[in-house]
Amino acid sequence: MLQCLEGFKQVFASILSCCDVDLYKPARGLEDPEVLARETVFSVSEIEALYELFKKISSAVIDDGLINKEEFQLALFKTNKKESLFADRVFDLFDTKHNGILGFEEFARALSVFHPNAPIDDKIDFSFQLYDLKQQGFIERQEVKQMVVATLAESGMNLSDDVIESIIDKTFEEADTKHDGKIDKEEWRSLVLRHPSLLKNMTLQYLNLLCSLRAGFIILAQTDSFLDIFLGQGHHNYIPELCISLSSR
Amino acid sequence: MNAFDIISMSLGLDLSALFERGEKKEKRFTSTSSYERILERVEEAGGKLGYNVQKRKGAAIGLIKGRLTILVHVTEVAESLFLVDLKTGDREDVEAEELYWGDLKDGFGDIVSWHIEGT
Repeated sequence: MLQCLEGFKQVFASILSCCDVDLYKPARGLEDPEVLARETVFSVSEIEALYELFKKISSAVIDDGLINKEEFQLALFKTNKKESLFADRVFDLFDTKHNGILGFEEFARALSVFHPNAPIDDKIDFSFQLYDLKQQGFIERQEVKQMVVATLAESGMNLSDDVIESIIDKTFEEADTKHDGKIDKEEWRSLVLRHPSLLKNMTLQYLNLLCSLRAGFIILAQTDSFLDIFLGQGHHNYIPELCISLSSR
Repeated sequence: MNAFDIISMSLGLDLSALFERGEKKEKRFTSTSSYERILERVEEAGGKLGYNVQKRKGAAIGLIKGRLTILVHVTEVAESLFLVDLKTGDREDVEAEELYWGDLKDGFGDIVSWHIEGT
């Protein structure tokens, strides 16, 4: 569904790229966007826009139409020098074929979970698997500690071991209702249903505002704390008439 | 504060970066001041530096000057320890960004306990 917002007023636009892609031609190399559109939360035009992003990311190091771990890190951190426990986990979860590379299908299907319209159960599942570092079907205390420490280290923050332990104690007190020292899928589910903010990184607002338009793609950015849309104050790529594709399902 | 709140702050889990061109412009610092004092100081500093200060829900403050939009977000990490992070929306002007940070940091003054260099 395309809704044209004429006289586009207040947009806080972060323009990703302008590609010379004709809107009405199917994306080069993308075989059947309808299939993926049917099987994910994305619309056909969103799949096509996503494909443009995929092409960009996958050609960064080796131009082979596939995203390897290095290209993924590059896309995420804008540097391939950054190792991250979490980026590794995310990559592994995207890589459903377990062959160390991401094809477009894997990319689109995984990102579908992050769509604002994706079922919450999918987000709950994905996040559980993300945090289940050893993939044992439950999240152990040691894994939680590892992740907390990794996150703090990323920001250069140092909390004393005591403080970290007490934070984890409190977390397990609340989450581990079966008192077996682990958080299983059920316990995770009730925890996030009680604290929905824990799933906030499982939704990318950008994904329902992808648009293919004339000579380029405009991705309207929304940050998670303000839903305001600002006037693209003098953005030189500002285009007065935009068609915004809002996928509503 | 839940351990998973902290974990979900990780940049490695922030896939929005996939959609952004250029480096993720985020600055972070920790503060041991009170929550109210932090917000107050941010607003004050922003105002003095000529930003249009806009308060938002969820401990967020927007600072807007011309094309530059900065989102300041305060999160409690542990008792009496807050993480303040600043994100910019406009990635066009790298120089302006470096300038903004210096001025703001000076304006924030003593609420900054530990400035985290480079993200």
